[in-house]
Amino acid sequence: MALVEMKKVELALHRSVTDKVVASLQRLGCCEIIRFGGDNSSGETRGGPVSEHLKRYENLLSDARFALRFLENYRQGKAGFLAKALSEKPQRNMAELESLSDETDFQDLVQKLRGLERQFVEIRTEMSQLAALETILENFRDLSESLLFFTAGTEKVKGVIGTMPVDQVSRLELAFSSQVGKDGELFVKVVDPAKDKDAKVALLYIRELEEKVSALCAEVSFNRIELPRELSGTPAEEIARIGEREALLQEREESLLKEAGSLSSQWMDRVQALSDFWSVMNGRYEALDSSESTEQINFLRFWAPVDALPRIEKELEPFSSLSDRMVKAPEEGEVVPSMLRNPAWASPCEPLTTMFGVPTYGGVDPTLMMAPFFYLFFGMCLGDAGFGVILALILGGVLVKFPIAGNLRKFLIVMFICSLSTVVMGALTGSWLANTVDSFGFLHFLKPLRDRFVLWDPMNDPMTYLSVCLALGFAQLIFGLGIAFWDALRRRSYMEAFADRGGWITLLVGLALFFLVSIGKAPASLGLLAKSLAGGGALILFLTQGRTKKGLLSKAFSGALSLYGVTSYLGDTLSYSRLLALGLSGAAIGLIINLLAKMISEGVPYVGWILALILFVIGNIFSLAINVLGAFVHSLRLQYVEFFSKFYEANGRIFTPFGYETQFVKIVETGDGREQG
Amino acid sequence: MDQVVTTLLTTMSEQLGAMIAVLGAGIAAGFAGSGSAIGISIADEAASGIMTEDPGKFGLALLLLALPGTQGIYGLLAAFFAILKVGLLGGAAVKVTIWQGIGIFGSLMPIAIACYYSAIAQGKASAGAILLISKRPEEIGKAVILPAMVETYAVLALLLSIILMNSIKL
Repeated sequence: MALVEMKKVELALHRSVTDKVVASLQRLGCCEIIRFGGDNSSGETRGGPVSEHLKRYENLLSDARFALRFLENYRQGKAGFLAKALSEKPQRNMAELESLSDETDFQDLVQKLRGLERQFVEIRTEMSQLAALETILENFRDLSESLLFFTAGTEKVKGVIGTMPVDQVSRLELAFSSQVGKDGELFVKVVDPAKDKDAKVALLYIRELEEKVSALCAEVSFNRIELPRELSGTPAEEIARIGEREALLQEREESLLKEAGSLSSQWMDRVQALSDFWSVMNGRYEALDSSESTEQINFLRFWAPVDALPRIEKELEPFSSLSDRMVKAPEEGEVVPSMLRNPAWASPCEPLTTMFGVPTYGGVDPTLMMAPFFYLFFGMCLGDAGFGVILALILGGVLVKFPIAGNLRKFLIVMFICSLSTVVMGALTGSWLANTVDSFGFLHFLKPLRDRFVLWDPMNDPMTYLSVCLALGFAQLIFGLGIAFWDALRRRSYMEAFADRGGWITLLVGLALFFLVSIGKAPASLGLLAKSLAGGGALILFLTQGRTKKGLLSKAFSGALSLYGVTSYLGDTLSYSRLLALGLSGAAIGLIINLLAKMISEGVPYVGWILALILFVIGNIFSLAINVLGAFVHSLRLQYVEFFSKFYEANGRIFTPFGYETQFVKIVETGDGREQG
Repeated sequence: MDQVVTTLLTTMSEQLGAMIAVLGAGIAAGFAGSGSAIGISIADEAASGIMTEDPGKFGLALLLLALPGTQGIYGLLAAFFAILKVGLLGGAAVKVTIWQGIGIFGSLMPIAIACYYSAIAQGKASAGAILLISKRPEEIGKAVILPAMVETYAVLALLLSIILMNSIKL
């Protein structure tokens, strides 16, 4: 319920053992290093071996990132996303990785990969240039003159090629024949007169007429195309040459691809392992870098949970002659990281708590109190035992079969428990894939079995079920206020406990009781108790809620106004009616599916039952998907908005221990076989 | 002449009630569905937008833009309940008076109105949430919760429609 108690540990270490101690702490993975003096904003990283190591590992890591990206691109037989998420990480130990790092000529590989990448880029650039040239030349394929005339020209003859508007062509032809006449040649091509706006034009003329032709060209908005100088054959010849060149380039690219592929299969795993090793080492030197040091001594400070202290002590035992340590309680004003710890059945809900916000250190961790409500509400919202069984089987299978870790695993466990709760709630409301048992004659024999568990039938008697939902909601709200009351007591702020929380609890319980008495659900003898509770609560609130105000009148006004807050509690309670609505909507969709399936199976001859079965399966999958989303979101919302708002303070910072943070491999210990994540 | 009027009145008293309920069902399903379609299209625009940058966000975006789709389902549900209640989907014949028909019509109004508007509003909220995950995909949990706040009122409307319909005794 409360967060794990944290202690601040200050270590003074002789320089000679600092590396080893930091390595041990990293292996333990239960300390959060505190940076000295905030950060090294001066940019001066104290020089020395530590920053050199840091620089080295940072470079290696950036190379590794490049190499991994490259190798991943050219990997043969890529693994799917799911397969990747579900497969187990290979296990390695630090010594192994270190020797791997030493014996690998990584720089050589990186050089090779960069070379390959450059060649790929070169090939692709040339290919695209060739393709562009090819489209230009394709337009002049019928031109029988050598392109030499159009690039450099000969001593006597010069030419230009280009495009121009189709409607100007006749003008050009006229002017060309009158001004150049026999001293030149004109080639015009319009691919599709209906659509093309540009004609492809080639002009050939004797050099002396160059100026005249230029003027002519300017008049008809001729757009000149520059060709590469090395072209010397006819366009048709050049196109053939380009084709040859392209084939050659393609061949080269294929051989490079093969090389990249083989490099990928040869190196991928190793580079992944190395990248993890270097990031671990980088983390270690970052920790060292955040220590403060004199010539002989390094000072290291970190947060650690109280129960990890003996382990740390044991780890530091061998260095006791060269180290000194002090364990302190957190001081006022220090931001202590929060570490959540809950029993196994509730701890999978921790990500749901931290998604809302990390609990403030010293405050309440709501996970344990939220978990049962969340499981229950999810079950009520989904509310179908058939869905519950299906979900439980799928999730259980996935959890057993695949070695999933981390938050994904927690999420799947939450969903698994939720699906069990769905089975229970579905059985209590008699919903097994809605009313499937009633709908289809051949399932009627299951009816007595189903009916044995039914407690309510929300479809036929929604009001009873609604009151159950609201009662549960009211209970959760009072529970939330109770936690706030307890928390205030624990912090010894009695005024807050008894006046703010106590006042509301008394008033609300009194009002609820009064309501029950007045609709005849509670014995009338409790009426007096109800009235006095409500009255007492209201009086407490009236007298205390204005206590920060000055002046009797404004005190009284604030006190009276605070009673208006009862509407927000009413609203919160009514909000729980969504449990019924969502439960009903799931059941009703199921009802519709069954009805349609029955209509089809009876109405369509011969194949009716096949169509009905298909409709039944697809319809239920759709219904399951949409209802699971709704159930999850709305039961979570009830926790966040209605429950958490009563007591939960989420201004904390999550405890992030200094350890082995890896992406691809799992680092294990060799010595005594202890595993470190 | 009199006979014509009598026949007219008889058929009216026999069938008009059920038909008014059908009118209500049509409005409920129609408006709720339209609202969902508009809401989803609003979220769709945002989703297409972020996918131009990163097509890999398709899954997350789909989850968010499906949220305004529930209103259409609620509308269909309520409509279905109504026509089931007046006996148009088989089962024993039910006699529905004009007043009962008007009652059923009224009971469908919360869902028709609230679903139409809340689906559009939720579409906007989803679009915002989709922009949120374009920058911070790890916050998908929060991004799903925010638009769900809007849906509350569609859920409440569904609840009231069902309770009202249930309270009309045929």
